[in-house]
Parts: sequence; C-alpha cells; structure tokens
Amino acid sequence: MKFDISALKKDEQVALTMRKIFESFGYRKYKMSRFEEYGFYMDYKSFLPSDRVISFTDIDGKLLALKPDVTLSIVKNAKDLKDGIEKLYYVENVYKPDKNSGKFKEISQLGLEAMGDVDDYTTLEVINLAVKSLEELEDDFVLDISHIGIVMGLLESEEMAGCGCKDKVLEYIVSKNVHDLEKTLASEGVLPETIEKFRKLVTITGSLKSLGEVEKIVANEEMERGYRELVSVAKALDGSGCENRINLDFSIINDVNYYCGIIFQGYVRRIPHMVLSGGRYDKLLQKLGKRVGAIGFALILDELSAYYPEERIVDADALILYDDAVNPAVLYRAAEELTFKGLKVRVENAVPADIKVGKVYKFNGVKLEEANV
Amino acid sequence: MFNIALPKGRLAEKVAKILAQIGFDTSFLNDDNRKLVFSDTKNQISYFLVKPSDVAIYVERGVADIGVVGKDILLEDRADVYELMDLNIGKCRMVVAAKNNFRENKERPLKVATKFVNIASEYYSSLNRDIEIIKLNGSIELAPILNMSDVIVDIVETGTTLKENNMKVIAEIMPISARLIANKTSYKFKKDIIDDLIGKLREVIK
Repeated sequence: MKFDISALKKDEQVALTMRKIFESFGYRKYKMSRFEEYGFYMDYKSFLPSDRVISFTDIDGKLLALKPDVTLSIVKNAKDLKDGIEKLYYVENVYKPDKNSGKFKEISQLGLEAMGDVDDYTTLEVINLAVKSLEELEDDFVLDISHIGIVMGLLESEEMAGCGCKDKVLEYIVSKNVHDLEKTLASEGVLPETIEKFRKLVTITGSLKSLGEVEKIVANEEMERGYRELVSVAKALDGSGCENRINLDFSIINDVNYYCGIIFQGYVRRIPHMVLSGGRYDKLLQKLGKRVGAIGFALILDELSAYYPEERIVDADALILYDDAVNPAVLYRAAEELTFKGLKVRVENAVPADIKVGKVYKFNGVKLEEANV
Repeated sequence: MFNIALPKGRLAEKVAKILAQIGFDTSFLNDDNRKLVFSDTKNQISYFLVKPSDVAIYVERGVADIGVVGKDILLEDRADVYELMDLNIGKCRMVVAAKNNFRENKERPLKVATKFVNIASEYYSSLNRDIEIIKLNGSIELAPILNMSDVIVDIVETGTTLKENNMKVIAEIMPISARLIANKTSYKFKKDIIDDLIGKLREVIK
C-alpha cells in the first residue's frame, strides 16, 4: 500500500510521531475517559485560563463539565507520587471560550506531564521533548524560556512595596511595552534604578548566553534562585545542537497562578501565534495536596492543517466505474487486486464531483478496462 | 517580504511621513486611487491600508508583521501582540465628557454612551461605579444632548466638538497615541528587521 504517514493531515502526523517519541522515553498515555464534576473545576478555577466551562446535568442530576483542561484531571488522578516520577502524555480535545467569536471552541491538544521529584534531568528531558515537538512541525522554530521567579521576584521585591499597579506592570511586560511600563512605574514613585531593572527584564532577548545580563538585575533571593535554575538549564542544553533556537524572553508569563519556576513557549515560523506552552507547575500539585513538583507542556494541534496544507495531488490513484448489473463480489476482487499493487482505489458507479484521480477504469463485468472520461 | 499594516485616513499620512524620514518609499500614499495593497519591491515591503480599528487584527493574525494603531483600539480589543513603541503621533485623550450643567445622580447607575465598551466598563469598575453602557458607533456627543445618556466616554483631540455642543471634559481616563505593534511570531523570526526599524524610528521621534 502506498499510504504512509505523509498522506495524513499535519495534526495527525505530529500526534503520531510525537506519541512514538514520548513512548520511547517511557511516557504512558493518559486517556480522560470520564466527565469531571463541575465543582472540581470551580474549586480550581484560578488554575484555568477561563472560569467559563461547558456544563451539563448527568442523568442522576449531577452537574458535570466538558474538560476545559487536561492537566488538572491528570494531577487529580495521579496516585501516590512518592517514588520516582510519573510520566504521562495525552492527546485530547478541550473546550474553552474563544476570544474572537465569544463562543466555546474545541481545541485539540497534545501534552506531556512529569510529576514527582522533578530534578535537573527531568527538566532537561521535558525541554528536549518540547523542542522535538516543535521540530516535528517545522525546522524553523524558536523556544522562548523564562523563569517566573525572576519576573515575580522583581515585581514583589521590597523596592516595589506600595506599588498598586502590579497587574498593569505584568500586562506591559507581556506585551513588551517598555514606554508605558516606564511611565506607570515612574508615576507610582518607583526608583529609577528599579525602573531600569524592569526595562532590562523586558528587553533582554537572545540566546541563553545572554544570561549574564540577567545576573545584573537580580535583586533578591527569589530572583537568585531563578537565575541559578536558568543557568543549570543553559549548561545542560549547551552542545545539544538546538541551543541557538532556545532564547531567553521574560515577556512570556503564561499564567502566574499556574506556573512557578521555569516556563517556556514555542513558536514556529508559519504560525502567527504561540503553539506550545509549558513549565513547572508545582503550585497546582500543592493545592491538590501533593507535596511534589511537576513540569509539562501542551502543543496546540488545532488549525495546523491550515498552515501546513496537504500536498495531495490525487484523491485516488484509480477510479473504478461500474454499472449496477455487475456481480459485486467480482468487482470487489478486481478493486482489491489494485490495492495489493499499492494503489489507492475509489469504486463508484458515476464520476463523483470534485475528485481528482490518476487513472480511470471501467469494470466490464469480468475485468477492468482503462477508460477515457 | 515584510508586511506593514497602516490605518487609513489622517494617521496614515503622519506615519508615511515618519517612514519616509527613515528612508522608506511611501510615495504610494500620494497616489489618489483605491488600491489597498502597495508593494515597495526594492525594499521587499508590502503595505496594507486598512480601517484603523482593524490594524491589530491583521497583525495578531500574522498577515501583517507590524502595524500602527491607536492605543484606544489596542486597549479596547486586547489584541495579543507586542506593543513595541510609542510613536507620539495621533495624540489625543480618552475622557469622560458631559453637558456643561451635568450633575451626577449617585442613586442610580450612570448611563454611559460610548464606542469603547471595554475601556468604559473597566474604568468605572475601577471606581466601583455601577453603569449602564449604551454602545454607539459614531456621533457619541448626541447621546447626552438628547438625554439618552448621562455622560460619554470618547477620544478628544482639541475639544472643539465638545465645546460646540455645550459639553465639557469631566474626567480624563488616559492619554492616547499611535503605537507600533508587532505579531509575536514575526518578532521572533524577523527580529533583526523590526529592531532595526525601531532603532531608526527612535532617531526621528522625540
């Protein structure tokens, strides 16, 4: 059969290849088989991107919800996380409100989670798997990396005590808006040295080699810890071959309620928005009463086929036309014979509209004859 | 090819002037025709002229790498883009205005007529003031004159329209000006071009 993985749509291809890669590193597939209770999501809504979820009433009157997120239920269902690290991956659809249409949207996601005693090795493994996922989309990719501790450390530092505009400041960092950031901080009476640190934080971009610049703005223990973690990641990635595709960028905040520690976001040239996001999310595990760490990421599979159109030349190699009088069993055998030769066949009693085929055959009741249609 | 989305109208001329100052060929803007896309093949740049409120959409979706858009529209639409520079042109203010003899009745929700629903809601929720929004698309000043609303939230440049209609500014929400925005992916992959452009712009903009 000629059919191979390249005949699939891009999202299917990526899902299949990445499953193989995740499995080869010992990650097991997680399948969300049940609906979660609506109350569960409401209890943890600060960990969700939106508190609006699709809810419905089950036969027994219980209020259930369609999954807005997979990680929450993976963490909830993770058993005893005492020894080693639980390594899981998933391919699931989630349901979230879409900003543009104002309606719910189904989003297909591929994700990976490692929960337990997350150490430098686990962090490196997960970052490398994120890189492989981006590579699977296209060779021209960028993985931006940041540390929540550095951003929040500066925002919550003593120098910022009494500043009532922290949400605004975060917003400006995310949009790399230095002009409004400086103006707002100045109007709040923040010292020029501190404003300069924020300006640096936003403008530092480039390879992990620019980490030296980060050291200069370290103002407290939390930032120091973040800086040291980034240094060890940089060291581990040095010489991996992808270090020039991994950039520092402190404007990637994802979600400060959810993440802590190392965070990252992936971009590929052809897609105008972020396609991969992830990082450490120990806070969520703590909230669920698990005293261990966790790191993971999700790749958005949606709309991939719009950006990577299929290069399919024909829908079928052979179109077999027949009239109703023929013996179906004989016709089937003739068609099957062509598939054995590796051809894709389409059997029809009339030429379908909007189809592109290689050769056209007519079935004369006994065998196939080439025809000109 | 590098794609730039520019807002049609008054702002376009000002932006074209600045771009010309840093060596871009923007002569196309003087052509009096209805073309929407202009290519500067020498420098590999395409310009799109779009409705000012649509610039952020073109940039967010990556059709344009960068664009010029008013801060009012950025705040109202909350586009997911980088806001890289304040161009200091198209300056005006987002204000609350009312009739000259207006006195607020705090016993009921304030009726606010505006084009900027999100900005108005956010402003009043920061003041803890209950409001009723009346969404209009133009001639906002008419609403208080006809007693349809108590106040308006709108952008004011000189204040002439307000004065002519016996109205005044009663609160300033924020200053507005045109901003240079960039698509997030474009900024990752065309950073050199964009940073170079910003560097040159900084030299001509005070």
